[in-house]
Amino acid sequence: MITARTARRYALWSLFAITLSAASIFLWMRLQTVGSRGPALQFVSPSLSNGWVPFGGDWKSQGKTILNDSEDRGPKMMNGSLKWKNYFIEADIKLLGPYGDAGLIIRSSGEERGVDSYHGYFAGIRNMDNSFIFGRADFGWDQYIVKRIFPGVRGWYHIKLLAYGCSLAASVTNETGLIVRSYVNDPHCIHEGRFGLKSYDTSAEWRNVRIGPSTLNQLQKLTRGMTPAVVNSNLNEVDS
Amino acid sequence: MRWLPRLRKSFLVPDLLSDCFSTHAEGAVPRDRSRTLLIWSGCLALLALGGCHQTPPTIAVIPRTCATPLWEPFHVGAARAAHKNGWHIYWNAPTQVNDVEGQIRFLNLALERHYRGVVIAPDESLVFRTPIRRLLERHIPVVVVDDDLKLPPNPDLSYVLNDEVIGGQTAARRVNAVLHGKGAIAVLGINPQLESIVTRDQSFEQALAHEAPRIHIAVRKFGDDSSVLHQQQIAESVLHSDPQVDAIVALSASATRGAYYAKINYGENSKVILIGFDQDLIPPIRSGEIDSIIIQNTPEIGRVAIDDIVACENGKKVPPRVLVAPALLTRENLDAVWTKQMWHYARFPWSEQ
Repeated sequence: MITARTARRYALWSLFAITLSAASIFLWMRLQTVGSRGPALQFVSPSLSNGWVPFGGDWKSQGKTILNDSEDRGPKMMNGSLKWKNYFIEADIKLLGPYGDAGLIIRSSGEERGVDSYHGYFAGIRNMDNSFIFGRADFGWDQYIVKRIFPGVRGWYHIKLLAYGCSLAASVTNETGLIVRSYVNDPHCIHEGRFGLKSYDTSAEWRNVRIGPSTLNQLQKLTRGMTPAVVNSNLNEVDS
Repeated sequence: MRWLPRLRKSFLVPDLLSDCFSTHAEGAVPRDRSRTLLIWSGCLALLALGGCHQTPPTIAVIPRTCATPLWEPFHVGAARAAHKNGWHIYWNAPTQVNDVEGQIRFLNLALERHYRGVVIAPDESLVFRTPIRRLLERHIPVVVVDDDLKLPPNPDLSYVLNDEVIGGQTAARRVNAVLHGKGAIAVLGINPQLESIVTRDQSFEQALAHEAPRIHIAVRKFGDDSSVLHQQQIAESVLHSDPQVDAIVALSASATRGAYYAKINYGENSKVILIGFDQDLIPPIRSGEIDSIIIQNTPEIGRVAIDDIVACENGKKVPPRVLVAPALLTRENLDAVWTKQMWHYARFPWSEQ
């Protein structure tokens, strides 16, 4: 038999247990969001022991540069946290082969060896048709934008790729300061993921890889005067 | 907890669930400790079940490689068919063709991840018989595309193949038409490790002998598909040989590419007509440097392969062998809707695949 006093004690203990559980859940959620917004502003060391994870290719650290010394299709080198949300990555990139592309990945996860075998956004330069390319990979490539680079892809290029909410912006600048930009809004965007380097069919070099948190102000600055292209990822409309 | 009986009445909450929320405060209710423990365990189990989510049925689709005009339309065909059936696909492949070990790794991955079926375009016929038998032993449905492994079809194994006989005949008719019934030709890219290419070659030669007896095959070059550079060297030796051939028939995508590069290197004087197989190089058709290519209807092959796996999983019988006819791609029909869907990279929301 349970008396009213015992029942009151049970009720108090239950209340205590519920409060403790709620506090634990709150703390766990806080811990989950710590560092999820974006990385601290920093140059990323090219040393391969600094958290870089390769998926195919032949990656080497040479002084201040990272080299992929293979003409494999789609090798990647990843780094950072799968929880990073709003951040940017920028680097100087040079293609070393005649027919390929290379660039930067942002908000990536699920990487495997293979062409386009990751979930994330990619922006890069391609010398086969002298263009700047920007799109999304989900074990299949959805190319958002191709823009011609004049006079052609030669030498070093500075690429910046920024993610803020479901807005993604990218720019490429050549050594003389000519800039090509693109800006998209992906309603079904990938919200978080790590960053990486990727090439396709060419060896390539990366230097001055820098990451940092992104802000609305930075997005507006990068896309000044531009209207975002809205990505149509509605399966019923695309799948026709 | 006065609201609970009302809730039970309104929503028919099961007894166990009501016990989870009941307290003993309403009165002196006798309770057995072990029963309480059992109820709490049941509640936890219910919560755990609620937290689990069902893995959607997934089929591994493993072409020879990805992101090429031959295999991306296949990808779209497979993804659309899977979506229509409420299934998902896992799409990945080695980054280069002829990476047999890489393809076997993907087959093993399909086993590890418990995918419900496998669609594969094997790189070689003989090597893949054992790994595919291993899948069949576990009753995982397999559809082999683009090559006949000579493993007999059974309820779990079927084939969806490019019709190589029609492909060979189409090439022979094209050679006959462009050479006006006479001349000498070279056949490149004969790969004895792939049954499909052997059938393609046999069909071509038989049709040519039958329909154009005054066209003779002056050169036959064997070699695997592994390197475009190797195929280019073979084609260059053919172009520099005397007497010259009037046309080259390249039986694979890499042989076609190799012959095209050799023709470019040979210079503008090269009047050799190039007829290829399998969609890979499309712009030279527009410029006339490649006369034509016999292209596979890979979107249809992908669609039928996925439909077969789903039908097999639903206990339905599937045809042991389906042959899908290829088409002749020329400058004239390059932009036609029905040919474009076989080589163009169509958009698809790949996150939904």
